[in-house]
Amino acid sequence: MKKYVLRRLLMMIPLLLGISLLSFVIMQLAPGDPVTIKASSNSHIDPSYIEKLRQSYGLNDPLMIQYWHWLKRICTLDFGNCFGDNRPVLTVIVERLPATFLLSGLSLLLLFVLAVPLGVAAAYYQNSWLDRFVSVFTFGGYSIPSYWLAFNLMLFFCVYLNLLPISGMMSTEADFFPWYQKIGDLMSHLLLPLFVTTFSGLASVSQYARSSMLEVIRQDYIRTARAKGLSETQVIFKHALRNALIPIVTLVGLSLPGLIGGSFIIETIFAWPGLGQLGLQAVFTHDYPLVMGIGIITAFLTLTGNLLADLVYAWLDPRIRYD
Amino acid sequence: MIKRIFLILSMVMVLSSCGKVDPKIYDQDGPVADGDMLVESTVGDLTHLNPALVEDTSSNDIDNLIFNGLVRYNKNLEIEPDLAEKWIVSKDGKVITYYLRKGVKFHDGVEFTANDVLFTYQVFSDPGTNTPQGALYQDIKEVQIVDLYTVRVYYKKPYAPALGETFSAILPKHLLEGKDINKDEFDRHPIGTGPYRFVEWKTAQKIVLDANPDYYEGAPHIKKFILRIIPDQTTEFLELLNGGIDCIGGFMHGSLTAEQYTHQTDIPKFKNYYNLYKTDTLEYTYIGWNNKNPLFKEKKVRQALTMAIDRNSIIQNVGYGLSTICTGPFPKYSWANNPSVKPWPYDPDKAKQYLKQAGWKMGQDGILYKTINGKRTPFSFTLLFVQGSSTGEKIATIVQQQLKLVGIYVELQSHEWSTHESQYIKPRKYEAFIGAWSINLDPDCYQLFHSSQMGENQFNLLDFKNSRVDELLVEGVRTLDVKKRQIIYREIHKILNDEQPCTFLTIPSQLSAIHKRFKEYEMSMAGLTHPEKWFVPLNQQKYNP
Repeated sequence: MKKYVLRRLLMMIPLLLGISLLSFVIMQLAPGDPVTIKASSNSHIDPSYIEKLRQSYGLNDPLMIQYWHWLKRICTLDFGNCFGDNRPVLTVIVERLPATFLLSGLSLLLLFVLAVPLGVAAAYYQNSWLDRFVSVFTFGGYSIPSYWLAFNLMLFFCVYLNLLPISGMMSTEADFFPWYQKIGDLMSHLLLPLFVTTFSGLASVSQYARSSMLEVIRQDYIRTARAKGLSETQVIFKHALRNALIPIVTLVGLSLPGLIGGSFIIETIFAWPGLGQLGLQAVFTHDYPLVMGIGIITAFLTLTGNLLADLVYAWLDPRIRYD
Repeated sequence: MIKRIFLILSMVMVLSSCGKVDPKIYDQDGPVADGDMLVESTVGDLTHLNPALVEDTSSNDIDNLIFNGLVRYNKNLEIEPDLAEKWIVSKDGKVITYYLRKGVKFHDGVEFTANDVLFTYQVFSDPGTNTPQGALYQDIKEVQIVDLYTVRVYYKKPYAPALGETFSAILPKHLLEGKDINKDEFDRHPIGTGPYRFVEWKTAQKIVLDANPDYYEGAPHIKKFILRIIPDQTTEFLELLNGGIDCIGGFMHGSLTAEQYTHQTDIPKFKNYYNLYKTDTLEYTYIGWNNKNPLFKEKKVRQALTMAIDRNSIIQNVGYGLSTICTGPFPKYSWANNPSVKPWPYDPDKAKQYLKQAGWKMGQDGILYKTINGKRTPFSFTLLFVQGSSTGEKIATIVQQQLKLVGIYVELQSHEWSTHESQYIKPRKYEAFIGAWSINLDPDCYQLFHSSQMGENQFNLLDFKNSRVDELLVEGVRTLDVKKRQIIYREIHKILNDEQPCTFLTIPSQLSAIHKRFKEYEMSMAGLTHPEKWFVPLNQQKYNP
C-alpha cells in the first residue's frame, strides 16, 4: 500500500510538469498580451513605460526561457508576482481562499447531502411519481442558466421582498455589528449564491446515486438478504446503500478541484470575492503568473483528489487491492 | 417546524419593513449637517493606490479623494490652485514657481512642504519607477526648493500640459524616502493630504475611507466613503434598487448601461430615491480614414464621406440616443472647443456632388469609379472593427448601408482586439476603421495629429499631415498663456473639422445615479468636485458610522 501511494505521488511530478507546460503554451496562444492592453485607448501613455513593463515581466525572453524561469521559481514554491497589483501570487490566492472554501465547500457538502438521498429514493421507488419529480426537479436545476436564476432570485427576494442582501460577503455596515450579528449577516449573504450553485449541481450527483443504487438492488445478495427475512430498512441501508455509495466516493474526489476553482459566473454575479472571480479576471487581463498559479494549484488538487478517491475506494471495498 | 420558519420569515419581513422612510422626505432641502456615509460601487477591481503606479481609472478616482495635487481642474476645465496657493510662469515659459499653502498636513499629521514636491518629482522621473506618467516629467531640467513653501520647476523647453498634469498627487517624503516605490506597502495603505483618509482595502470587496477632520478646505460633512467592488453591472443596478449602494458614477467613472438608463429607471423604487445625470465622457469614437490611401487622400472625399453618414441615426440606433455628435478631439465644455465649428450635416446629395467634383463617376453597377494611376478603380474599401464589440458592429453596418446610397461599397471585417491593433492599425495596414480615444483635460493632441507621430508605436494612426496643424500643435504646447492657447486650439479644431482626417462620430455619455438625500454636489466634465461640501440633512441621514 505504502509503495503504491509513493508511486502515485511520484507519478504526479511528470503529470504536473506536462499540465503546466500545456497551460503555459495555451495561455500564450490566446491572442493579446498583458501590456499592450494598457495602451489601447490612451494616447498619453508613454511607450517607454510599456517597454519597461514588458522588460520587468520578462516578456521579451523567448517562450521556453520564460517557462524555464517559471519552473525554476516554482520549485522553491515561488509563484512570482501578479502583473496586476505586483503582489505575490500565493498571497493573492490565499487571500481569496476563505470566501471560496465557504461557498464551494458548503455547496459541495449540501450537494451530496441532498442529492444522494434524492437519488437513492428515486431508485427505490423507480418509475413512481417521486422518481419523476426528482428527475424533473434536478434536471430543471441543471438546465436553467445559473445567471438567469441568480438575477431572478435577486429581483424576487431582495428587491421585491427586501429579505436578503444582493451581493458581496458582508453588509457595508457590518463592521459595527456584534459577532453573532456578523455571522447572521454572512449567512444571509451566502444563501442565494449557495442555492444557485447547489441547485445546478444536483442533477448529476443524484442521477449517479440513482443508477448505482438501481444496479445494486438488482444484485443476488440483495435478494438473499430479503430471503433471509431481514427488514426492508436493513436491506436498503445496511446492504444496498453501502455498496451503492462506493462510486459516489470517486465523484467526491473528482469534485475537490471545484472547491478551489469555485464558480466564476456565480462569484462574479454575486460579487463574491473568491478564487473563481480572480481566475476569470486573471485570464481577461492576461495575468500570466496568476493564471499559472491558479492552474497549477487546481491541477495538483485534481490529482490529489483522484488519489484520495482511489485510496478511500480500496478502504471501503475490500475486493480492491493496490499491492 | 415549517410553521416556525414562516414565523421567522414574517418577523424578518416586519422588521425590515419598519424603519422605512417616506421617500418624499429626500426631495426636501435642509440645513448643512455632518454625518452619514456614501456607498458607491465600481465594476473594476483596483490594482494600485500609490499614485505613481496607478494606471486604471478606478484607482485614480479613489486617489483623487486621498491625495491633492499642486493645482487641479475646476468644473470649467480651468486650472485652479490646490496645494499651491498660486504659481507664476516666467516670460519664456520655462520656469514655473509654485507658492505652497502653509499648514497643510498629511493624514499622519506631518506637515506638507516643498520637500515633498521635490520628492514627488524624483519618484515620477526615476526610470526605475513603474509609472505610466514618466513622459510628463522628462522635460523638467530641475526642481529647486527656494524655501520650505516655494518650489521652482525649470523646464528644458516650455511644455504647457505640464502645469495641469504634473504634480497631480503629492507623495509624502517622510514615508517613502529610501523605499522601493514599486513594492512598498504604501501602495495598499496610501497616505496623502486629501479630504478623505484611507482606512481599509479588502481586495475584491471594498475600500473604506474616513473624512479627514484636518482637511485644509474644511472637514467633509459625509463621515465615511465606501467603495464596493461589484463586477457585474446588472448586480450593481439591483443593489441600487435595493439600497445597498447610494450611487453609481459619482466620484468613480462608473455608469449605468444605456438600457438601464432608458428602460429600467422609470419605476418608483428608482425615481423616488435617485437623481439621474447624463454627462459627456472624456472619450470620442470616430471612423479613421487612411489619409495616405488614394481613396481618402482628397479632403473633398473625406468631407463627402462625413456628410454621407447620418450620425444622428447612429446615435439613435446604437446608443439609445444617449450620446452626442462629436466635432473634434476636445471636450465640448473645454475652453479649447471652438463654438463656431458646427457638425457637418447629413446630406447625401451634397456628398454625391462633392464626390463628383473629386472626379468620381457613377458606374453601371451603382458604384462610383475613378481612374487612379491609369487604372479604373471602384470606390470600395474594407472597414475594420474590433470583434465582440456590439456597438462597433452596429456602427459598421449602418455606415455600410449609408455609404451604399452614395455609391460606395464597404466591406466589413472584424478581428480580435489585439490582432486588430497589432496586425492592421499600428502598421497602418488598413483602409478605414472604427476607433475610440480617451482624451485628457488638457487639449494637447500632438500625439494624435502631428505628422511626426506616424511611427508604428505612435498614435497618429490616421497618418494625417497638415503643415499648419503641425505648427499649431507645437505652438500649443510651448505656450502657457491660456488665452493664447485658446486661439491656437480653436484654430486646430477648425482645421480638423474642415480636413476630416477622420469622421468624428460620437461622445459617449456617463450615466450616473445619486441618492436624493445627498445635497450640494456638482456634476461636471471634471467629475464631482469638492467632496468636502456634500452633506445629508439630519432628518434624511441613513447610516450612523
